Amino acid sequence: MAIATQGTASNYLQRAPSPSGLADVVDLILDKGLVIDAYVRIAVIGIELITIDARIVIASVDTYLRFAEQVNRLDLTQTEAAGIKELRDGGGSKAKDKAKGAAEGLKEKVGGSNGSSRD
Amino acid sequence: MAATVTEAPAYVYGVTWADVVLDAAVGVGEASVRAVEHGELAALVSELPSADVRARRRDLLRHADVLQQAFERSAVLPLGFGTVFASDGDVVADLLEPRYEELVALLQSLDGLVELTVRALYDDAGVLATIVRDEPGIAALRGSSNPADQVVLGEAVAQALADRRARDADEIVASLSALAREVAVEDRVAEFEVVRAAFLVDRSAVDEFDAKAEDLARQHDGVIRFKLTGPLPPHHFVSERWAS
Repeated sequence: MAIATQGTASNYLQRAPSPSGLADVVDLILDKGLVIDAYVRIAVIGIELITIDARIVIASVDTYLRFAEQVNRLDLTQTEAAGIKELRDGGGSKAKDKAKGAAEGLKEKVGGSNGSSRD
Repeated sequence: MAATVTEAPAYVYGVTWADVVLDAAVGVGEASVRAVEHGELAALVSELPSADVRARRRDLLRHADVLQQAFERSAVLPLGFGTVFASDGDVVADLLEPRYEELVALLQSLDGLVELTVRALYDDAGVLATIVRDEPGIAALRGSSNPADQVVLGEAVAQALADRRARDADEIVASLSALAREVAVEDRVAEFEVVRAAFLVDRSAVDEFDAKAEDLARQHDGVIRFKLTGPLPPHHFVSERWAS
């Protein structure tokens, strides 16, 4: 997925020459670009709503409890050393896998929606 | 791309120069993409079986892909997803002809410019560890199993994360904006997302922009991961809304 498009050596920045998944594409083509009002638009409204939903950060007791649990579980000595080393090494880090999982969760939600009409 | 004319509904991807040739591009509903030309302009279109088609995820990807292919050959004005005209004739009569001068001017103004999008995401363990280390008040709240204490801790963490996100997002956008003509920052972000932003950059400055993003990624290693996508057509920077 990470494709180095430039000649420079890099282990830090993830690069992609074009959008690599539905979440990326949704960011680019819904409500972006030239919009011509008075014509038929094919249905995408379900996808839009669900995408936006997935992105709103909700301040709630549930969120706070989740944060508290995460913070309580942190092993500070390990996290720091391991986190930095894994990212330097560049491959197969826990952090990357976790983020990938999260991104795919979003994509599935988006992909699972059916459009309904919109004009 | 043959410049044939049909009476079926025409799905429009974008507008480019008439001399741009796409090799067998496949579009929405698996239809092949062709050009509807008018003067120096070409609308990239494909035939729809009916205007009542529902979009599937594959169609969204196709839309972006067709524009990407055109963009690799020339400047292109991306249309938002979903625009359909009644026929090829209407694409000319209602878009290319009445908006000809504006379309030409827009295309010329985007010549040599590319969009680069940057997405910065916290490593959750990395950023939470940094917050605990930097804020003794939060460190002191750790470890209690009392639910009320947990809510207080969680709320303090949420606030610290929001403050940190605001600072980090500003720093990232300011740093990269120095190399961009225009910037568009998304106002909605996910829980551990720092920022998503699009930058309109001179093609000649792409390497420098890449190096700057690489610098940021190195500086924030272990706490923020950066993803750079592009060069892309200028999706975020063609914001005209035209009523017909």
